[in-house]
Amino acid sequence: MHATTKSTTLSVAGMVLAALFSMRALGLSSGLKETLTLVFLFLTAPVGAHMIARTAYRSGIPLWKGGVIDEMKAWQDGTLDDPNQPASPADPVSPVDIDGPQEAPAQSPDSDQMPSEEEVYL
Amino acid sequence: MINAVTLFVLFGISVCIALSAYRAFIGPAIPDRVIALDNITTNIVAAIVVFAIRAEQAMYIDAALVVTLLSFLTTVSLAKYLLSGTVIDGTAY
Repeated sequence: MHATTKSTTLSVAGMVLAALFSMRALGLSSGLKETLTLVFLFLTAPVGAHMIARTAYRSGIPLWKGGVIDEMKAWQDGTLDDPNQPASPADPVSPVDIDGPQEAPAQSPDSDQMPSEEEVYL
Repeated sequence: MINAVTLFVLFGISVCIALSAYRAFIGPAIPDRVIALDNITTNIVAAIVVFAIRAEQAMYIDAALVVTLLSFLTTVSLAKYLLSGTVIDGTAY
């Protein structure tokens, strides 16, 4: 994303600004097309960079080895708003998971109160 | 003065295009090549603009504008093709 956004919006925008001032100083152009080129550069470069970066992430291109955090991983796994659920589905035969679903239906008919969110979720 | 400056800038832009072409040639993944080709077209826009300053012709700016829009179109269509297999499929990502 640096390669497509920073070079475009900094260096090429500077060159287009130079062309704008040069053409206006020489009296060759009114500067409208230079301004239009500048606006399109600023509009299209970040959009293209984002699209190609998202494509690279979704198609499984490995991230840089020096990166320390991957915030898109929680979004990809669907566990972004639920920190209690593990990121990867654990094996269902672990003893902690066996006790939970068997107790929840036995308690719910006895109690008149509404089941809590955990019982509904289980 | 302006001739020497623009000649130096054009030389630098061609060095950048050569480096981007090297990345597009050896790129390990397809998005690397797409980014390299997008970078090449961006450098071509810069070269056209600098050449317009050098030649003192205002109509080269039109070519730069068209190449800018073509670069965006190429990048977006390649990204959609790599993501979904088709370019126009009616779904908004």
